[in-house]
Formats: sequence, structure tokens, C-alpha cells
Amino acid sequence: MSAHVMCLTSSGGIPLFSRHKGDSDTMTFSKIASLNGVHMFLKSQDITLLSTDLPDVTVAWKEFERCIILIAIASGVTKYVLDKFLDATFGAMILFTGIDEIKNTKNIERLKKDMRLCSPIIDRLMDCLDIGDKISMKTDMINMTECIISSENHLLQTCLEGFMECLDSMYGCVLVHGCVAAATEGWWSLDPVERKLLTIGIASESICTTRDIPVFLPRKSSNVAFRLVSVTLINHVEVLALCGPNPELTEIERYAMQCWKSNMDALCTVEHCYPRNLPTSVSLDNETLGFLLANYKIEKFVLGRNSQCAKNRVTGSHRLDILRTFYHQAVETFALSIEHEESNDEKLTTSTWKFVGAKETYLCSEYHKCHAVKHGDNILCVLYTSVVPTHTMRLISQKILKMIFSDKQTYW
Amino acid sequence: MSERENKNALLKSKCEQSDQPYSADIYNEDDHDWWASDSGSSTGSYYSDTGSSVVEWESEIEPTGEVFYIESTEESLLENPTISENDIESPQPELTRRRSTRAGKLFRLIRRKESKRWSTKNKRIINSAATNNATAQEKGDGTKEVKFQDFQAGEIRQVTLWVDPERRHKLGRRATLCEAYFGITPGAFSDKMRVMVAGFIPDGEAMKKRNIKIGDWLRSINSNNVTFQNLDRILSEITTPSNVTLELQRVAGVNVTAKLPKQSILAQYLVNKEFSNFFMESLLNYPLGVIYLKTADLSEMGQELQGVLYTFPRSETKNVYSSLCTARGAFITLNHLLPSIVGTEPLSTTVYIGEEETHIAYTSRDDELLLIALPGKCCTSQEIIKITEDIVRTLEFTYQSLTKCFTSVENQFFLDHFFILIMHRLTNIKDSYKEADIKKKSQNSTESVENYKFRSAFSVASFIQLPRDAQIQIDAALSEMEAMDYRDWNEEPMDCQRLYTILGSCIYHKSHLLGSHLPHEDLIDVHSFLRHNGLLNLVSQEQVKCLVLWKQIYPSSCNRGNIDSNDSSQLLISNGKWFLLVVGYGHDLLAVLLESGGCTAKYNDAIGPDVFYVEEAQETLKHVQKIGVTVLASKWITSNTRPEVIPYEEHTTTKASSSITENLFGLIKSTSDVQTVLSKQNVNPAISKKPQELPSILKKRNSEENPVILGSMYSLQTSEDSLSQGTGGISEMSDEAMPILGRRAIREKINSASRYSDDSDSDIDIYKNDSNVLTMDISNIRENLLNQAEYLIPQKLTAGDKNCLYYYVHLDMVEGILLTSIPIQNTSKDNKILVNFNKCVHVIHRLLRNTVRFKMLNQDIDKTVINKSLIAVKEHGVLFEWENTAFWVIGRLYTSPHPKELYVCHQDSAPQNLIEIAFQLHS
Repeated sequence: MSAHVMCLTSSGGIPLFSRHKGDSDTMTFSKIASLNGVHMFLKSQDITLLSTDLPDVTVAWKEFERCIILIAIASGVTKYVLDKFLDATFGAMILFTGIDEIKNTKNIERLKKDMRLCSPIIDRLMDCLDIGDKISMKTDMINMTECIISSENHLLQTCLEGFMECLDSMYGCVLVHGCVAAATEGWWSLDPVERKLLTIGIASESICTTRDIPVFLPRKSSNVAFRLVSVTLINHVEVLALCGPNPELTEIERYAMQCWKSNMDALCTVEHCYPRNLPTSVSLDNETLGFLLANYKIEKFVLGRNSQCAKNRVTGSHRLDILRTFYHQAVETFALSIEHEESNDEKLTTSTWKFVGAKETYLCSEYHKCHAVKHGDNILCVLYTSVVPTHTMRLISQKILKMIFSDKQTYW
Repeated sequence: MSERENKNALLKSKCEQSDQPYSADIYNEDDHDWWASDSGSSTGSYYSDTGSSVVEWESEIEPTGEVFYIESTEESLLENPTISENDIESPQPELTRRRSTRAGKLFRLIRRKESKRWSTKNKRIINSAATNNATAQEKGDGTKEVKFQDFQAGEIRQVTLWVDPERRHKLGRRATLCEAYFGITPGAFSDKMRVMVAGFIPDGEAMKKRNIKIGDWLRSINSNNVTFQNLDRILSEITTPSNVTLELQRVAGVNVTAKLPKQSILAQYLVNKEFSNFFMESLLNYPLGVIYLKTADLSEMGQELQGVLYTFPRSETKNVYSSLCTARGAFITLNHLLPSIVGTEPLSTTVYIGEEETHIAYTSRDDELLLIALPGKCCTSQEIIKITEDIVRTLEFTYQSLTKCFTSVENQFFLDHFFILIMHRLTNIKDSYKEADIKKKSQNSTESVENYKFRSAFSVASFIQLPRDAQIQIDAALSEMEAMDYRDWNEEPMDCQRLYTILGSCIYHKSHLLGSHLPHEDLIDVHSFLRHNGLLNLVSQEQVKCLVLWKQIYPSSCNRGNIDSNDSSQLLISNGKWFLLVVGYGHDLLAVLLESGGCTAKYNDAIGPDVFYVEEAQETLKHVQKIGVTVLASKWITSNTRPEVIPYEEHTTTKASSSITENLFGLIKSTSDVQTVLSKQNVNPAISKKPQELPSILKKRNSEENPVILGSMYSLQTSEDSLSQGTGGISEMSDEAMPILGRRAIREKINSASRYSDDSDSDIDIYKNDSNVLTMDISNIRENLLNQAEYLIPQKLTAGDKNCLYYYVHLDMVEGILLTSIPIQNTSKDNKILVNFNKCVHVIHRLLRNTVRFKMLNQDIDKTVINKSLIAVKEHGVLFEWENTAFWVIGRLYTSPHPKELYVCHQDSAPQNLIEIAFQLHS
């Protein structure tokens, strides 16, 4: 029930930071050094150490850019998720510091200080790890962008595009409670890790109406900093943009006022969608406790609970945790195979078996049932009460899929 | 055939040993004229009964007393890939009738006393003496070593021999008339009619005549045409000393071939350990390896291989080691370090060696550590953990502990061979030395590798549930052997103590388990042993003529031979020794677990197996074959009826028709169905569970497992979400609730349910009446069983008009049993689906396992780190769709009475309620 992440320099083995979450003690230096030493020794033997499995716990090592080693220990997560977590953690390190500074640092102490900046982000990333405790406030997934579907999304999209034109930028999105309600095409072209980091980066800053933060994009531009600008439109709703040195922040605020003033009602409607995250036109049956709609190609997801049913059964966030666990443990294995199948990566197909053509999957436990069905690039996972018969789950899931995808109003 | 005659001679000798009344009622059905012909009482040839095999394998006894002897049949020697069905139906060499005579038992008992006497002396000497005494038995080999081309044209010669009937017993009672009179060992040509000169008796009459050659056709004696059948009769007509004229014909194209190897390539591969070095060196290039390390007391400045107790692969000549060996320090560190960080020991590590993904599994024992590395190509990190567990189980079974296994230098040789066998099968790496071997196997290699891996990973034996009658026959045969109750066969009280107690036995056909009387943990042990040593693969690929394996082992039911004085619940005899005896014949294997100690006679070291027990096992196996179980089993396997599955190609564009109304309609119909089916099935579980309920009476050992689960999980949760509730669980319960009164009680229960015996005490009667009844019945039983094979009714697990089941697996890891359907064809698509299915089962199994593990925890729930959302999973299914085929793979967990898993692979078109039935049937 714990997670640790440690960062060391590759050459000297000097620890840069170590974060942990859950109910375990902090890592002592000697343990960190030993874990690093094993990796270093194997490297000298031309062997790359990837991971070690223990019962319910996984330890993973990963070296980045031949200069940084990240070691993660987490319980109850799949290797795939842990790997993504390490990628994201390294991305977080770059986000405020830039790759050059990390690679060619002369002063380790300064680097350590810089790393402190990204600690809140790394803590948020650790919340994404499904370690099975119920502490985390919000159920988030490490490798995907959380979205919100509402009937107003079309309107927001048009507004956003107008706003981005004013800023002369391609990358922008509207966040409702940290979930993307609308985003430009450019935003979706960003790496999932970058999207994740930017949304988390904004949320982890102190509450203020406007922000202007210099950020390095780990994939797209790890050397040249962009400006990440955010303007709060109404409570819990803000607009994000990546832009160059111009325009000034005050000017941006002015543009925002111009663009969004007329659509305040729409923004409020979207805000009310939370935490259901679905437009009111899509009604969920009483037996459905929650749902998770994921697009594994674009790597975005919507997670929502059914507020209609009695709240005393399973607490809301726990329900979402169940869905997340179901996705990682039972669905992702099959969904990932599809990805690889399409990318036709020779090397991958020879080394590990991939499941081909998985369409649906379900899981029954004593207390609940989960069902997932694939629709194009999307996977819909639905959490049911345990009284629903298995075949009925299939029908209800299909019905929900139909509702979401046939409604032209909802924008996904 | 000479062998046949040999047997006749044997029977004859047995009868002489006994009194007339006994033998009369046994042999009156056989009207062989030799019966009246002699009344001698020579005891010269005791030691050579069932053909030549005894002597053959006895020569293979190693100094340690262990035996591993395989003799392949001619078919497999000639490398004609044999088609199993045909082989089985062709008449097998004459079998001795084990049940046929109590005289036979007595005979053997007496001989056993003898053999006990020998054991103090050197056995070999006596053996050679025995063979000299009765050279006749050599002829069994003669037919094999000498091969004659069979042409009728050839030079005809007439030879006159002096025959004195008085001297006929000179060679001992067992010698045939032909041997006694002429000094000629008769054999038959391939037509089984014409008599061939197969060999000479030293100093016999024929030996002195130069113009009688081995391979000649003996046409006539005193111008009476001779056939193999009338040979004895013609000879017995010679009553006075006289000259006899033999007409012999030289058969053209005689070629006395060099002695053929007795083992097929596959068998050689298992037995011969010499060739392994070459292959082992070639393995150095692959990212795999096995090392056993000492992890304590290592100094900083040790030499290169400090602490390495065993490493595989290695080179004898070069100083090269696997990368696992050179990098071992890292794994020692991890194994030492991680428990202090996380609290549990590591299971496996994944690394890239060069470009290739490799998994390394840990097994630590005190200060020592076993590492096994396998390429990611051949297994996942999840699989390697389980395969390692299975390998370790086999090693501990064979050598008691890993320390003993790896520290002894003598073992290295065997271990190399053992690991070569495993690596060869797991990785499918071509062994250049055995090219032919691989070519032969290549057609079904994917499937066999996959099967091997699957069974290793789950440590299960694939079990086929034969019809009840056959089950009873198997159980009866095994029980009779195990009981070793010889009182009835002996007039006087036995004064010799038994050498071993039989703990249990199990019987295989090809690689399928037919019946087991072993405790579960021992069955798992024995099965892993047979699987890893390639024996199951051998008998499923080809027939063996004789297979004898004798080995000291350490069964886990006996705590691997370690006596734990603190644990009073374990009734272990001190100084116990345990042995595994495996005998094989045709496609069948019989494994017997023997115990020495306690009530048995004191065990003498390194004397090798006692002939009596080996023969007892061999004859039990032959008896089982004789009553037709083997034929039935092979039909069973190939018939695709248990349960019936459909080929994937058959699938047309049937669309999923799972509307609610239809399902509901089906439901009403099906519930009644289930009830009737289940009531019929009620007897079956009793049979299948029987081994489980049979703690050996003799041992009084407490083989109780998982009392916690038995106690607490008794509710009917298994069928909570199924529509047709309850019935399965109830029938199960009623079975369990029966008071267990031991073997007899259970058999009686079965029998009273069986339609054969209406009278209640028939079972005991059969035993009391001894073998006579059985003798009379043997042909009936065989006929009965085979009739059943003719009319196999496909058992459809899914209901409805159309069968929609592709594949079916019942996984019971507590009992170590796997029930599975047998894929019908071997198309590439089938294999692909099979592999897909197997992988999927692993994924599902991993999730289901969480539940089982969580339930095992009981009190310290807080300490576990198992994901809370996964602790109560009981069913998981995946729908696949490729190439117009839509199929589900569904796994379901049953927690009562002990965890069992059931996996089915069925068409998407099957309505849900029908699938429920599939699950119910075997729950």
C-alpha cells in the first residue's frame, strides 16, 4: 500500500530526490544506493535491469538520457503503469528545469534545489498510481488525459478556437475541475505525458486567477521554454494556453474576457456536469454505479459516477477506483495488444504475445461487476451492482455506448 | 512367435508349481496340448518369466540401486511415425494373465523369497548363472537382433539328427521340445506360420551340423510339414530314441543385421546423458541459465566462481559462463535487499541481455539461492515463476532438498541432463545433434511446447474421466496392487515380511492421467517428475516395449522425508525411505510410490528394485491394458466427445442472438435440464473425488488440506450469480457429507450405485471369491468397455441444438488435476487460438488468484497489499473476434470445497444460460 520513487544521477549515484506515498517509511540512503548499485553493476555487464516482481509489489528501474536513473517501488500496479509513471516523473523533472540543465549540470546542489519545484507534480503523479488505498482525492490515470463530456462542448470548442487565434497559438484547452472539456487539435497532438503534466502543473499551483509559467515540454521542446498561461473564467473553470513571448499576460486576460463573456451560461452548465461528467441527455440505469470511457489511441478518458443510485453502497471515489483497477488489470492488457497490432511493430510481436481482436471483457466479484466493450478506438467500462446478470451487462453497456456516440450534441 | 511360446512355457511352469486343482479351473478354457505333456518338477528356470525384460532392465541397475531403462518397440525404432489408433488395435504381444492364477501369485511369492535371499549376495552373479541355466530365454532377443528377409526361394537341405526323448529335461523344464530334441530355438516368420531357426542351444544336436543356419526355414520333420502351431505336437509324437530327418530351406537374402539399438531416438535422448555436453555448450549463446549459489560467507577477494555451487549451461573446455552466472552478484543483492525494503522476497526480475528480454526467477533456501533464467520469447515473467516452482518441486522430490541436489558432485551430470531436457522443450532451440528428432516432432511442436508450458506453469496433470465402469476397473486393479494382500493366495501363513508398503499409484495413457490413488501433493510431484523427465512425452509420441524406472524419492506428503519432531500431527515413520517405480508398456505408464520403513522389512541399500514389485506393477499395467481400458482411453481421447468441442473453421456467420426474451425462455427450460443432468452426474463426482478421500488406511496419515477453506467456504456462493442456482453445490455437498469409511466403503458406494451389482455385498464377494470371477469376466469386461467405446455419446457441455464449445479447461491446482478437451485438428489457426486461450487463462488466473490468496489470509488482512478491488473476483471473461470467429474465454473460480478454476472457450452465439450449464456440469 505504498509507492516510492527515487531519482539519482547516473554517473555519480547522487540522489536528487525521493518521494513516497502511503504508509511506509522513507527510504534510507543506503537502500537507495544499493538499488542503484545493482542497476549500475548490471549495466557494466551489458545487461539492462528493467524490473523485479515481488508478491503484489513491483520495483522498476529506468535510465533516462544516460544521466538520470529513476527507481520506483509500488504495490498493486501493473508494470505498464509503473513504466508510464517513470516516464511522467522524468517529464516532470524537465518541465521546470529543461533537459540541458539536467544533463550538463555543474552544480548538483542547484539541481537538487530545482528538483524541489517539481515535487508537487510528482506527488500528484503518484496519486495516479493505483496502490489500493483510498486516500487519493481524485481518481486519475497516469497515461491518459481526463476529460468531461457535456452537451456544451461544441460551443466551448468554437470559443476556444477563437481565443487561441487571438493568442496566435495552437495549443489550448478548457479545464473544468481539472478535466478537459474542450481542446484544440494541437493540444491533442501533444504527448500524453505533456498533456498530463501541464494540467497537473496548473492544478498544483496555488489558487490564483491568472498564471504565467515558463515550461519545457519533455518531448516537443525540452530545451526551449514555452509560456503556460491560464486564466480562470469562472470557479473551477479555466482556460489553458501554450504561447510564445507575446502577448502580455494582461492582454491575454483581456482576450479571454472578450471571447468568453458571451458564453458564461454554457460554462456554468459544463461546471454542473461535474462529477457526473456526462451530459444529462445520457441517462444511466440504476444498476450502473459508474463508467469509464477511454480512447486508447488519443489517450484520454472520462470517468463518471452515477449520482442517482444510493450513495451508501460504495463510496463514490472508491467506485471510480474499482473502475480504474479494472481498466489497468483486465482491460489494458487487451487494449494494448490492439495498439501494437496496428502499429505492426515486428520486435514487439516476436518478444511478447499479444492478444488479437479482444472485443469485450467482464469481471464479476462478490460486490460488483465490471464490463468493458470496445467501440472503435474507444473502450467503455461500466461498473454494475452485483445483482445484474452477466448477459444483461452486455446489453446495458451497448445501450450506453449508443447513447454517447449517437448523440451529435455530445462531443468526444 | 517365440515369445508366445515362451509365455506358455512360463505358465506351464507356474502350474507345475501349484497343485492340480488350482490350475485346472483356470486353464480348462485353454486347450493347449502341452498341458498334458509334462509332469516334471524341475525348478531350474524360475528367474526368467515374463519374457526377457526382467533380465534386460536388471542389467541396468546402477550402483545406487536406481534404474532407468527404456526399450522401444520396433515400430518406433524404424522411425515410422506410428499412428496411434492402428497400433493399439493391432494385437499386442501376448500378455500374461495376471489375475488368472493364484498359483501364479504363489509362484511369485516363492520366487520373491528367493530374491530376498539373493539380495545379500551379488545379484549379478546369480543372474548370469540363471541365464546360463536357461539359455532358452535368450531367444526373445534373437528375434529382434536377427532380421531376415523373407523369400521362399532357396536351397533345400535335408538333415538327420539323433533324438533321444529321455534327454528332453536336460535343459530344464522350461525348454521347448524343439530345443530339447534338436537344440534349435524355434521362431516364426512374419506370417506366424512357418518355423524359423532362430537360434541354437549350446552343445545341442543342431549346433554340430554345419548345414543348419540361423534363419533357415524348418519345412518338415520326418516329412510331416511343420507349422509353428503344430511343431510341439509333431515333436511330442517322438517317443523312442531315433534318427529324425529335418527338411530345411535356406531363405534367400538373409542378412544378419547388427544389433539394433533398443531405443528410439527420442528414448535415447532421455536416457543418454553423454550427448548433452555438446548441446549445453551451444546453449551458452542464449539468454538462459540455471545457477545455484551460496549467498553467505563470501569474501571480497574470492576467486571467479566463488559461491557458485552449480551453473548451467557451461562449457567443459572453455572458460565461458552464462551471463546469468557472471552477473549473479546483482541478483544476490536484490534477493537480500528487497525483503528489507518491501517485506517480501522477490519472485522474478526482468532484464535485457543485449537486445533480448529475459526473465529470472528466484528460489531462495536459507543461505542459498537458485536462479533460473529464461528468454522472454518463451515465457512471461508470470509463467517463469510458476515453472520454476514446478522445477524446484521436481528437484526436491528427487533429491530431498535443493542443497542436497546441487552440492553433490555426482548429481551434476544428472542435473545437466535434466535441465537440457527442460530447456529443449521450453525454448524449442534446435539441437544440431538431434536434427532428425526435431524434424519428427516439428509438426506438433507448437502445441506440445504450449501444452508442456501450460501444465508446468500450473503443475497439473491432464486427467480424462473414463466411463464409470472403466474407472472402477482401474481403481480395482490399482487397489489390488496397492493392498498387496497375499494371504488368500498362500495356504500357509507367510513368514516373509514385505519389503515395501505401497503408498499409492497412478496410471497414464499417453500423457493423460487415467486414475490416481496418490495423495494430491504426491500426484503433483509424480506428475511433474514424469513431465520434466520427458517420460510422458515419450509414451505419448511412441510406444515403448519396456520401461522401468526405479528411484529413491522424497514425496511431499511425507514432508520430503524430513521428520519434524515438533509437529505431532504428522505420523511419519522414522528411517522411512520412499521409492518411485515407473513401468511403461505401449503408450501406458504406471507410477507407484513405495515406502520402506515401519512395518516393512529392513531396507538394504542399493540393491535396486525388487523384481517382485516391478513385475507386480508391470502386470497390473498389463491387466489394465488387457481389460481394454487402454483402447477405450485412446478412443476417448481421439473421439472428441468428452466434452465435445467444435473446430474453429466450422463457425459460420451465426450472429449473436442474445436478446433478453430468448435468454429468459432458455432459462426456464434449462433449469429443469440441469437438475436431471446433475442427478445423473451424481455418481461421477464420487469417482473423481475418490482419490482425494482416500488417505491411506495403512498409514493413517492425515492428508487433510486447507481445513480453513473446507470449513468456512461452504456456502453456495459459487453459483450466486448463475441463473440456475444451487443444484451443483448441493450435489457436491451430499458427496462430501458422506462419512468416509475407507476404500472399501467408497467402492461399495460406487458399486451399489452401479448397475452391475444389484446385490449389496457383491463387492466384498468379488474379493473373497478372488480372481476366478475376474478371470471369467476379463473378456466380458473388455468387451463391455470396448462396446462403450463404440457408442461414445458426445457429452455436450452446452445445451441447445448446436454445440458452441471450442475449448474447455478445468483447473484444480489443489488436486493437481486438469480436465480439458482435446483439440481436434492441428491447423495453424487452432494452434493460434489455443495459444491465445492459454495466455488468456494466465491473465484470468492472475486475477482469480488474488481472491484465493486473500481468502487464505484470514486474520492479517491489514498487512496485505493486494489491491482491494480485486479481492473478491470470481469470474472473468474476454470476447475475441478474429477472422469471422467470435469466441469467449471465460474463467470462473469455485472456492468450495477447495479453490478450483474452470475455463471455457465458446462461441459468442451461445446464450448465457447455456453457458451456466457448462459451468455447472463439472463444478
